[in-house]
Amino acid sequence: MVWMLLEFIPTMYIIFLWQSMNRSGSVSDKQYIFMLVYQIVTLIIARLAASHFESWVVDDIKNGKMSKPLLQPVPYPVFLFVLEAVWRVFGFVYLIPVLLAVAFVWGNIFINAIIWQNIGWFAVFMILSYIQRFCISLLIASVGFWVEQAQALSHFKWMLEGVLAGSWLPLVLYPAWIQKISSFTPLYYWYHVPSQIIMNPDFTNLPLLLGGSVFWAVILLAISSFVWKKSIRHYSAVGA
Amino acid sequence: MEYRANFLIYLFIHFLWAGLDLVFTLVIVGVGRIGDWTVPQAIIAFCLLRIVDIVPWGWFLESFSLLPSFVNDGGMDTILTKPIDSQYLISIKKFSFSMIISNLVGGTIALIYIFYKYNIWPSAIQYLSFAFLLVISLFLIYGMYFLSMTVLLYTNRLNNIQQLFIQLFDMSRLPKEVYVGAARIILTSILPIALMIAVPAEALFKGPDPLMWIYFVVLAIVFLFLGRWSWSNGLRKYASASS
Repeated sequence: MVWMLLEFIPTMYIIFLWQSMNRSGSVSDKQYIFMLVYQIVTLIIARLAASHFESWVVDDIKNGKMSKPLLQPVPYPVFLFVLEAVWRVFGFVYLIPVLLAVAFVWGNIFINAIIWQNIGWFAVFMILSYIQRFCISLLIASVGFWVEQAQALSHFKWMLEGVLAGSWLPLVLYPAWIQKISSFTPLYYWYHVPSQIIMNPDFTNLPLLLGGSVFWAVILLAISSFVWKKSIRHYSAVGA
Repeated sequence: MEYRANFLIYLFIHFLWAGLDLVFTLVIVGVGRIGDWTVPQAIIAFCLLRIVDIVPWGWFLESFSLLPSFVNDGGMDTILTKPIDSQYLISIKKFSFSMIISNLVGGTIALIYIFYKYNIWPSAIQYLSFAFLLVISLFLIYGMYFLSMTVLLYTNRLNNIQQLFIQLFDMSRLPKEVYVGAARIILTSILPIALMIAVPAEALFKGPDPLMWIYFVVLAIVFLFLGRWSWSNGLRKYASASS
């Protein structure tokens, strides 16, 4: 119940804000509908493709609890990947009441606003986004073998996600230079691209964007894997 | 403060969060009006939110996040056997000093800058009423937050309950005019989140509103008493892990 409310509250107050701006005339009906749909789409993306295991993995490293997982026959990153993926899917259950409420109140708006024939592409980009975000979290967790306050890096990740990835506000609302910077990072493919695919009928260059997203997934997989292997050599625990 | 590097890292992080929050506010006000607040009024409210954020984020969250483990693992026994009031002990367990500099100093400087830039200089009466309402707001925040935490004594297994109020508190950055219908009624009475920042902030740039101020004080008193009552009642239901 608490998790459901935690999912619901941030989205709802932003929707209230846009409703208020629409009532006052600051934002047109079309812009309001775009923002409403965007908030719900980013909520779904955040629930299905986010990755947040770095804080408890860093805690385990600091407390010497990594010994047992590192001795397992399955590589720990593979275990984490599967664990997070399952948690993402299961965590979607918390979102269902929210989505039902949204469907009840704004069902017509969503049916008309979503480009249903792009759902397949949306799913593909979500999977690639999950892989990229998992790799970033693994990199942050790996730093825990070297630095005591590796969790601080999570804050930087959240900040960059909020601005450059478009999780707080659509990228189009930010200055052009921020949008440009974002387009050169993997964050561009976390919220902005999937949301545009599912919402913007004029969105083109899918093959190019797919290539970009795959490129970042491969690069981040290679880097995170390399850094993890280097990092575990620094691990020491009582009895190990 | 044993680990100065940690303090400095989080000091830097809090400054960055404050900066990003300001960017977020500026983008929003660039799009349109927030309720009936003008641009400088919205930024004043943002500065005040940053200052007040020290209390729920830097103090209460730090202390109250220990409460689930105390209740579930029997740590409450130690607290209850102390000769000091348990509510007081729980409430002052932990504090994050890194937020003080970034939020208090940064928020105050930003506030003074906005007054200077837009030539909005509150009168002495407005400053005094703002100071008074700010204190009341802090009591209201504490009362509501603590009341939400006392639920643990009745349910035991709610390890994420301390996040609930923090998420709700984010809604206080918007004036009550943003919310309509049942949402406004709830957020100005049962869960007066919409008043926590708005009432002290509006004392700085609007005329006096004695009825609202009295209502605000009454709300703070009610929630303080409710929190206390719920805590005392909940302790009777508390079953220790070891006794």
